[in-house]
Amino acid sequence: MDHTTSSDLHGPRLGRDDASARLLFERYETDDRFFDETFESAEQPRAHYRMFIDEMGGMPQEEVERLQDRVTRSFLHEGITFTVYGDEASIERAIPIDCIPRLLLAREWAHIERGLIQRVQALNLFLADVYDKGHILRDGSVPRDLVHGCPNYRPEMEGVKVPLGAYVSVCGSDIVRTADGFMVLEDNLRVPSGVSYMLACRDAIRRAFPQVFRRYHVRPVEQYGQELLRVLHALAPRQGEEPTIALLTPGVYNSAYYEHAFLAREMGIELVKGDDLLVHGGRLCMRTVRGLHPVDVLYRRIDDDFIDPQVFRSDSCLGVPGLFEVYRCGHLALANTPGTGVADDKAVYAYVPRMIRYYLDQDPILDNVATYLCREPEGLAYTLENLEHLVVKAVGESGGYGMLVGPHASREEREAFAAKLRARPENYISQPTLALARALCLIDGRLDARHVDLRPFVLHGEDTRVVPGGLCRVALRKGSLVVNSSQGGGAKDAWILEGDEP
Amino acid sequence: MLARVADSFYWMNRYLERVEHIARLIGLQLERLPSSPARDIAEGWRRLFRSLGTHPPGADTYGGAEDEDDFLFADGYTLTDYLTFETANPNSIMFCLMAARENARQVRDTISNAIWSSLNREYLRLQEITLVDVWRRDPAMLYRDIIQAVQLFDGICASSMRRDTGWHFMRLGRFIERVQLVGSLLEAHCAAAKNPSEGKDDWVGLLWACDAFEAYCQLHGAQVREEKVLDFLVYDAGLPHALCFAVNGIWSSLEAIDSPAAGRISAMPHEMASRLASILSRQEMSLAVDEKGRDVLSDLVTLCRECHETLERTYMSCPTEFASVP
Repeated sequence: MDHTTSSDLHGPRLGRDDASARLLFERYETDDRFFDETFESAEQPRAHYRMFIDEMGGMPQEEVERLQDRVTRSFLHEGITFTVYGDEASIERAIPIDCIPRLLLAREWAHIERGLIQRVQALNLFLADVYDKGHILRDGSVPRDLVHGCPNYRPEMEGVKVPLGAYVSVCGSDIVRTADGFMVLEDNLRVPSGVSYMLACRDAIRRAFPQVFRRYHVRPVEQYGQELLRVLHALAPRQGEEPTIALLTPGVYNSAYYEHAFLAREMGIELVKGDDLLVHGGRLCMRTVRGLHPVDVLYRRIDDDFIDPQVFRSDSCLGVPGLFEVYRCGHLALANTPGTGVADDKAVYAYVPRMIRYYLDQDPILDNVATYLCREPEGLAYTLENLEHLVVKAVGESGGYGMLVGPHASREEREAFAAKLRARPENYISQPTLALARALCLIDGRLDARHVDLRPFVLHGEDTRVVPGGLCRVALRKGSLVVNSSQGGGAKDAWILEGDEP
Repeated sequence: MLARVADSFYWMNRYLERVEHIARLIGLQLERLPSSPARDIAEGWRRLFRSLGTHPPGADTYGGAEDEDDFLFADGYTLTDYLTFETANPNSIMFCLMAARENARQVRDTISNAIWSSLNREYLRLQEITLVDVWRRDPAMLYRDIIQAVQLFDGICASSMRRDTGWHFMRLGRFIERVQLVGSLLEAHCAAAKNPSEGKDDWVGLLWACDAFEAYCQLHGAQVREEKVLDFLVYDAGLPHALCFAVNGIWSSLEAIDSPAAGRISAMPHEMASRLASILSRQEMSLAVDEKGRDVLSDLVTLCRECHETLERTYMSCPTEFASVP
């Protein structure tokens, strides 16, 4: 493979200041195995990146180096941090953020947007179906035992009336890009997180590049809070009255607490913990300085398991005893509803294209990643034969845990994993190792390429909308394909351009 | 407003009041270190610790009073460090600042970015400083900066916050803490004046510690007299660090939180505030350093503690006796 460094090749094309552009790109290597967001060939930047590359090339080196520091510092000051617990003291660290935005063209985004809207509509219809008549199960289009055997299937939800059929009000789907185009790698339908990083990144990066941001005509994301509030508002059980809406957080020690506080402030709703709530007179109430006050809509950011110890996990102290009964009786709306996890299960995922055809009578706009279900004999046989090329995932795990990355595993590791597969095939699925696209990043004062994905946020209420942008996750370690924040991933801004020409 | 949120607003400001107060006491003591005789320095530290209701670290290991004097004189660095950066000391600036910040984090959704970040910046700044860095230059400057950071926080709040329930719980935290701190400080000074063997009285220092020296001079001239100082620091309704000012603040914020017109959920806090105010309404009483004057001070401090407990019971724990769904 030809690993030509761009500093040899891009000299004259890269802007006003050749020397500094060359220095900036001295470590950049194109790699044919991966889709490159920035360069269409080793010599040629993609047209919409040229203005950005010029901007960077014209920037004095000290300023380039100050960029990263300034952005990180602004995150620290705002308190956008996570806590690392040590033996003695706990340390707060800023979320790693890369300063270079990922640029997506209007037509690229339009495709993602249409695909996600279609997908979230089908997923909601699926949930409404499996918790009611169960047509799709009776037809055998989706195996009944797969759905009912899923740990996130909640029989308590059977027959519960859900306003607007909105089981999933907020969805964060992970979109990957390969040479074959955009695909959905997974859907997060329970308590998707990361939207505050999308907004915080935008705020910081827009300030870091004020001129070029204006020239690019980037679509705004700042309206996310208002759009979410509109969705929550529409769920209120008593229409006509001004509803009280609250966000339920596990508290300050939760790694997403910043996001919970951020969203509550953006929307002007109450941020509550389990202790602030109780069930009184058939309503969910919050304890205020002037007595109890009923809550109509709860945007809950804790898992199903913990929302009500009387119905779900009895050892939970994060939730509220009796909450589910209030919900079942229709005196409270929940976003998302309990039981949505059955539709983002890693095995059920394989059936989403079929759901789209079944409920909407349309072809899927966004493809799934090819998925082999080990619960099926052919899927198991294929997986075992091709372990060295596949990624095998445990169905019930998330965050990159309990998985085998075939190409990176040793022979012994693969054999050990094969034994687990044979013992409990229904617990696993496998997918080809994805050649994730690479985007332009600023690493140690030089421009370089790192693998990325994109998590846009879909809001579903009276209609379905996607805020034009997303949390772009980036594997900051050179060569790494794992973008999860628990495994050394960071975040970057994604600029959705108004047009196809910059 | 959520009961828990009111609690955090309240404690955030109690802790910030403590930060400001401790910073002022240390700054004052440090300004005097180079020029005062050893005995005064030791006495200054002793009074400082007493007014905070605590003892110097390792107090139980001294052989006797002279031993203690030597220690207090010789080890200003250790004492300063203990009162500034020692997070195991609940009377240290760092402990109080961290507690204020944790409370601010609890209500991060209800305070603005500007308010949060004024507090968070000061915390991050102090995280990066150690006493060694500043000791040789001008250590008192560190404390002027800390006081200014708290004043900046106050200023941002005062100029940007809506005067809603949260605002008033912040004020309650401020003023209840102030009555306790200034009350204890006055007690410590009066005790010293009563008993000259404990060192010479220091009314000028007391005025500085209450950020009141310049205001005093403008009013009474530079001749500092005991009874005028006490009268000023207790009864002057226009002086922010005077007890009377703080008590008026408590009274007016209680009225705003739970006005009679809105239908009170409990009469208790108001009764408490009336009792507080009535102690200070006896204008004719001279607060000379006698038993009577000291009784007034200790009554005030005690009543303030009861006032805190009443607030906690009535508003911040939302007991079911007040449970009613509108």
